[in-house]
Amino acid sequence: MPAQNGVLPAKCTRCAAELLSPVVCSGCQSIYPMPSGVDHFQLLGLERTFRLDEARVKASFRALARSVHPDHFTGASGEVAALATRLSAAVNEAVAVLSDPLRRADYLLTLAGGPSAVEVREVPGSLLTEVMILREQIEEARSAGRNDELERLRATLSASRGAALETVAARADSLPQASLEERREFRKLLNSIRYYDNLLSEVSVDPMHAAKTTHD
Amino acid sequence: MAYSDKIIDHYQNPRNVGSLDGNARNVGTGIVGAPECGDVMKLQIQVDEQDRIVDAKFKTFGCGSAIASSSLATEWVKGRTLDEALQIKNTDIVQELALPPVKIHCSVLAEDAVRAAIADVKQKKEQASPRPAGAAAR
Repeated sequence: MPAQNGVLPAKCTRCAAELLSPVVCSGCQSIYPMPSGVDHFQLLGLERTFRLDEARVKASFRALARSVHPDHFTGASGEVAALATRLSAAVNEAVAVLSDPLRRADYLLTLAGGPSAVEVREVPGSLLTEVMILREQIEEARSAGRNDELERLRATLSASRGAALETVAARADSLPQASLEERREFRKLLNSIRYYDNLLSEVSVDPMHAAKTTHD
Repeated sequence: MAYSDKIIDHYQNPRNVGSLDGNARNVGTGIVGAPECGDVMKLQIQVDEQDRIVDAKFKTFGCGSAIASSSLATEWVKGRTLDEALQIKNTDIVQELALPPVKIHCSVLAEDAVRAAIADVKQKKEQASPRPAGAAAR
């Protein structure tokens, strides 16, 4: 539903067929420059929601990527070829953001007016203390060669990350109606997931390459 | 990227690594983090009766610049009063260690950790010795 906000042309100006995406005609395959203000969801013809169907995202992406692929426009004017290159980049960026739950949630928060990760760097409650303790536990388990303990920590972290992402999923679609305070809390939640991701990469990293701490 | 000798020295021989008793009334703990890189830094200070910092310890999980920044910060706060320690600016750390621009946030983290530790110990002291209510009216 690319024309949902009323600013996009609904029909191709060349063949009058429906536009399935704001940048491609489904009939004559003409390509159009990105209208200003088109978001990643609109570009891919998807509903603006956190709960996207992954298969649909992929299908939309494939169809669109094929339509705007610069290879189809090698015989076209330099201007059209350049447009195809720009659109391809935009389509790739859109799918990269929308296929990753964390980036998708971040993007929905941005569309709702933020705050950005630079503006709010805090995390919920005592998470930093928790992260500090987990880091120490990972380090102790590693230096003691306790792979079972590392595995236990990895499972705990993975569960914490999963729980945080569930909260994100439950709140993401009400962001447009959320207060600034609620959006700040949402940003903190996203920040917490970044810490979990960092810890998870730490717990699974090859010990030979883990010389990143101060400790002997 | 070329790092200064001072960063490398603090990274390879970090000063004051460790922990103080976080429950002690005269110990302040600051834990700060940088969500973008996942670094966490714990900096603790111990003060005497005159609010002078007599000991400082840190534990940092992060890059070399974050470790060097917190190591330097613990060296600098020792011997200062709390109010003097508040004067330490991240830009001083940047200058001393010649931190590259992409690592300036590490010095910000160290300054934040010092401030958080100071705030923590100040709060503890106020709770331990509340001014008598109505003292001003006497």
